[in-house]
Amino acid sequence: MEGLISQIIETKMLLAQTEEQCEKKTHLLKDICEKVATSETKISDLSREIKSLLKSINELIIEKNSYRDELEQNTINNHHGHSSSPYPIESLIQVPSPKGQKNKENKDQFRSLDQFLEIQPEINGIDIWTNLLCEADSPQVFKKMKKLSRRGIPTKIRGELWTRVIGNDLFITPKLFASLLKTSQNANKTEKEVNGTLLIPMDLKRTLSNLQVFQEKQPLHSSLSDLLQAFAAYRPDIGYVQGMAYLGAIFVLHQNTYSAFTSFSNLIFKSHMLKSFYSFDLPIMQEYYKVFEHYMKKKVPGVLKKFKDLDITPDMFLLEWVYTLFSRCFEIEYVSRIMSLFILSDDAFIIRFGLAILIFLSKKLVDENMDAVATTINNMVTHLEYSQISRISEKIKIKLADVNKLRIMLA
Amino acid sequence: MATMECKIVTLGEGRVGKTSLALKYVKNEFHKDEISTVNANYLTKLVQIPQGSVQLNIWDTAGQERFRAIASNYYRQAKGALIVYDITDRKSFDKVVSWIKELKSQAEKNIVIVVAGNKCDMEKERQINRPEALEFCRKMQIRHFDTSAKSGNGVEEMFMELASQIFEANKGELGQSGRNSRRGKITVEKTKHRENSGKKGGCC
Repeated sequence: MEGLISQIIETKMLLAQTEEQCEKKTHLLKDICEKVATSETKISDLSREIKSLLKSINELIIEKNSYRDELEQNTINNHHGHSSSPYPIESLIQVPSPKGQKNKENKDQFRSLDQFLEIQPEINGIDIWTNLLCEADSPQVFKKMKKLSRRGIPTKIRGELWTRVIGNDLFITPKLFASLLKTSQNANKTEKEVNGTLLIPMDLKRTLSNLQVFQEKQPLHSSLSDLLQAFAAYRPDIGYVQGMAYLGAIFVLHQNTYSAFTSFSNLIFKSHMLKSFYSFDLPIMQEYYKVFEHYMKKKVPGVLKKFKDLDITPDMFLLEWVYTLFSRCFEIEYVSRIMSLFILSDDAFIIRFGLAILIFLSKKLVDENMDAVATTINNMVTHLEYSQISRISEKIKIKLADVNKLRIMLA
Repeated sequence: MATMECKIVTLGEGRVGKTSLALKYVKNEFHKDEISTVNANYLTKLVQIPQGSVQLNIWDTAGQERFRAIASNYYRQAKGALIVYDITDRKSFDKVVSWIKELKSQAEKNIVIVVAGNKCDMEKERQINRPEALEFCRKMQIRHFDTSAKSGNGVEEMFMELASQIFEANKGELGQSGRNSRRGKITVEKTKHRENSGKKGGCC
C-alpha cells in the first residue's frame, strides 16, 4: 500500500513536470510563430525549430497522458482492485491494404456507401492518379492534379490524395492518436463540458442523417466520434465546435480513422481561415467578413444591398460555410469534390466558392421577398447546382495574396 | 394596415430545442433529431394580433457555449428574445439567468424577453420544478411558458405574447415616419398573404 502511494506521488510529480514542460514548449512555439511573421531571422531556421518543437510537444503529450492514465489506474486499483484493459493501438488503425484491395468484411459493409459516393465513371483512371500520387511533391505534378481534379477524382484515390496533399506538418503519429483517444475516454463530465465533447453523441445523430452511417451502431459512428474526441484532447483550447462533425465526416468517409484524424487536424492548422474560425479568433474572423463583403460589393452588389436591407451580414452564412466546408449546402457526393478542390487550392477557394454560390442565387435573392430569401438561405441544398457553381467559381480570379492584402487594407 | 417588422432571437443552451420551437411555430414541423445549428438559422412569420400585425424575423442561434461570443451579432437591435431551457436539464435553466443578465446589459433597452421551459412533454424527467421557474420569472418581470415543440403545446401562445408585447413596446414608433431606421422598421403595406410558406397557417 505504502509503495503504491509513493508511486502515485512520484507519478503526480512527473505529470506536473511534463505538463509544465509541455506548456513551456507550447509558449515557445507561439513565440516563434509570431517571430515568423515579424522578424528577419531566417525563416528556414525558424521552421526547423518549429518542427522540432512540434515533435517534442507531441511526445510530451503522450508522456503526460500516460502519467495521467497511470494515476487513474492506480486510483482505480486502490479502490476496486480492478484494472481496465489496455487500449490496443492496432485496432485503431486499419492499415489500408495496397491497390484498393479492401478487406472483405469492410467492403461489404461499405458497399452501399461506395455506390453512393461513386458519381462518375472513373474517367481519369485510377492508374493515372496512382502514378501522380507517387510524385505528389513535385510542383508540376501538383499542378496537373489540380487540373485533373476538376473533372473529379476516383473515389478510391481521394483519401490517399488528401493524405498526400495535406501532409503531416504536425507530426501526428499512431502512438499520439492512441494516447489522445485514451485521454478522451478518461475525461470526466466537467472536462467534457468545457471542451464541448459532451455534445458529440448528440450531434452525430444529426450529422448527414440521410446517409445513415454516423448514427449510433452505424458503420462510421465510432470512427467519427473518435476523430472528434481525439481532436478535442489534442487541442483542448479549440475543443469540439458544432459544425466540426461535418468536416470530420468528409474525411471519415474516405479514410481510416487515424488518417482521417491526421488529415483533419493538419488541414485545420494549415488553413488560416479554418484555424481562426474554429478558435473563435474574433478580430481575424471580422477581417475575413470584411473581405467577403468587399468582394460581394464587386460581384453581387444587388445581393449585398438586399442583405443589408434584411439585416443579414456575411458572418451569418460565411461562418457555417467555413466550418462545414459547404457540406450543408450540397449533397454529399459533391461535398467530397469540394474538399478536394479546397485541399488542392487554399483559403481563397472558400471566398471564391462562396461568391459563386451568391452569384448563382443572385436573381432569386434580389427578386424574392423576405420569406423566400429566408427559406433560400436556410435550405441551400435544394437550390444549388454544383456543376454550375463550380464553373462560376473557376472564373473568379481571387488569389490568396489578394485576400491577405485586403485583410490588412480593410482592417 | 400597419405591419410592424421586428427582429427576435432565440437563445439558450445547446440541444434545448430552440430550432424545434421556431420550426414548430413557423412551419408546424417537428423532427426528433433536428440538425444542430451552426451559427444561426433565419425564419420569418407574419403574426396577426388584435392590435395589428407583426412580422417576426426570427434569428435562431446556435446554443453551444463557444458561439456565445458571437451571439451579440444576433441580439443587437433585436426587439425580442426568446430564452429557452430544457425542463429536464438543470444546467440549461442556469443559463437562462446569465442570458437575461447579458441581454439587460447589452441589448436594446426595451427588448422584450420571454422564457420557455421546453420539452414539457417529458414531465417525468423534469428537473426544474415549475413554481421555482415561475417565481424566478415573476421577479424578473418576464413571462414564462411551458412549451413542447413536439406536441406544440404552448408554442403558439408564447409567440403571440411575444409579438403583442413587442407591438406594445414599440407602438410609439408606428405614428412616426419610421422609414429611416432599418431595423424595427414599420412599413405600411397591405397585409400580405404568404402563399409560399408552409402548408398550414396555424390558428391565427
